[in-house]
Amino acid sequence: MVVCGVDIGSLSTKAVLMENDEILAWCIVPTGPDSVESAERAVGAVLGEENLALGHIGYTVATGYGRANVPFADKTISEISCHAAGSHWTFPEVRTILDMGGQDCKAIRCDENGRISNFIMNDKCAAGTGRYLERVADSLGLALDSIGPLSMAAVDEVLSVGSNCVVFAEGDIIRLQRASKKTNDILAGATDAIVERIVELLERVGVEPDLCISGGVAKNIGVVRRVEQKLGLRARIAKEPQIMGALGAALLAPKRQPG
Amino acid sequence: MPTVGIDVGFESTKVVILKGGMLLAHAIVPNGRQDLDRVINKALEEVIAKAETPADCVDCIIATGDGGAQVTVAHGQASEAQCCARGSAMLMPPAHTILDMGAETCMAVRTCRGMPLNIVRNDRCASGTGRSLKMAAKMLGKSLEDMGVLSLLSREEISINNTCAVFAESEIISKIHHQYRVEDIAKAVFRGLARRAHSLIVKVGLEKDVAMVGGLANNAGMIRALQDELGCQVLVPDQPMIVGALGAALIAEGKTRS
Repeated sequence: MVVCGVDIGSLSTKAVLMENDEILAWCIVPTGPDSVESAERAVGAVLGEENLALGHIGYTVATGYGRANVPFADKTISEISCHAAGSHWTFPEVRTILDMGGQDCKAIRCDENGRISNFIMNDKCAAGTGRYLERVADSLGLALDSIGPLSMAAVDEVLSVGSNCVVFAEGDIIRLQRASKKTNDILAGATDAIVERIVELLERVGVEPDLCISGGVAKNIGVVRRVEQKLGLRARIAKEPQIMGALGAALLAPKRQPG
Repeated sequence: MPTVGIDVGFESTKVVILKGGMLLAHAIVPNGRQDLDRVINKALEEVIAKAETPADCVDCIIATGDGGAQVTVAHGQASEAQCCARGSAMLMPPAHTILDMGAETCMAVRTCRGMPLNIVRNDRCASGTGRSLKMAAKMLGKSLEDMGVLSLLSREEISINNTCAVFAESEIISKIHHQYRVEDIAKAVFRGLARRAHSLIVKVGLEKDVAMVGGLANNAGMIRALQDELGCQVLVPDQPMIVGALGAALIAEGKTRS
């Protein structure tokens, strides 16, 4: 049976179409102001790829912060369960998961069966979420996808940017710019700051290898390498790290397996 | 002999020149993106010209604020709370609880005879500061001043649930999308700031009268929201932005006497 997982995040909506144990199609679309429309657009896109219609889907599971607004979903499941399921299916050795999206950050611990033993989630404060990196990129006049590699460049001067609050961090950046500090050095300082927060969160749930990093932040090489260095391990990252929640949602569809 | 107080805030630098307990002149210069040393010099020159006092006559300069340590000509530093308490005592003698809301500051100070007794400030989160208000104003496409006036025309009570100013931006966009009125959204934003300020005031212990200083005290919507939240009148001086610099100049005057 064809099942569908939809993950409606704050910035992007992800859909995954599965049959048996195979991913048929996936897509990522920006979340618009209307989350129902965003979900329809994402599911429409994966169905279009496979030349299927909504009627072909046997079961749909919705997750993410907009999960309550998917009219065609059969069930909603929390992001925590979905991310654990998606990451564990992709990397069975994974015991610790870091998922950082546009507006939240989760650290999850699971056992060899993918069962969740502990998790922490921050969705109250923008510091320590993808939003921090977005605002840092904006303040420095850089594209979001360029700041990962740029933050890896050698530093002339070690600079400190606050990690507690995005607004204060922006203030710190302005102060450093007034003092004519180099953009790359400021960026490195800001990346160090968010990594400090990530590691703090991970240490609170307890890190056991393997560690899987997912969500938009997994695409920032500067963050990934720094986290690896601080924890002294290699992180597992899926080819498309942003779809782990939607994948997990599809995997948790109750009637996925035939019979 | 005159004394000078310099308050280097996040967004602007304020300078006050005093003589014999009388305010001779003041200046407020925006910091912009330039080197702070230049802003500080410019503000100093402006105030000395206004006061028609030769620069070498100035007896003592005390600096305060976020960038106070950068004032190389200063003879000493004073804390923001000390300056706030001192300046408020001169301008508003009955005030015993002072709320200072600036660009990056949200601070409550309980005072006694111009001295801080108890201080609570936001160190870790920008909610309740001018910067977070500015972000909301930008989302609404209004100036801070217009946003304040509009909030007074609110008819429907709605609430912004996110404390985080960055997440509140998304919430405001969603409210606009759902066709809530700008007046009502503006009011909700000010109420959020007032709640935050109230929580700080409760921590220092509210003793009447309550006064508000700092840049946000110029905003009609902020004052109204704060009065509604506290359920009492809030005193505001004529020039709420220069209270810190005035306090620094008064502290400088005290030093020259001793």
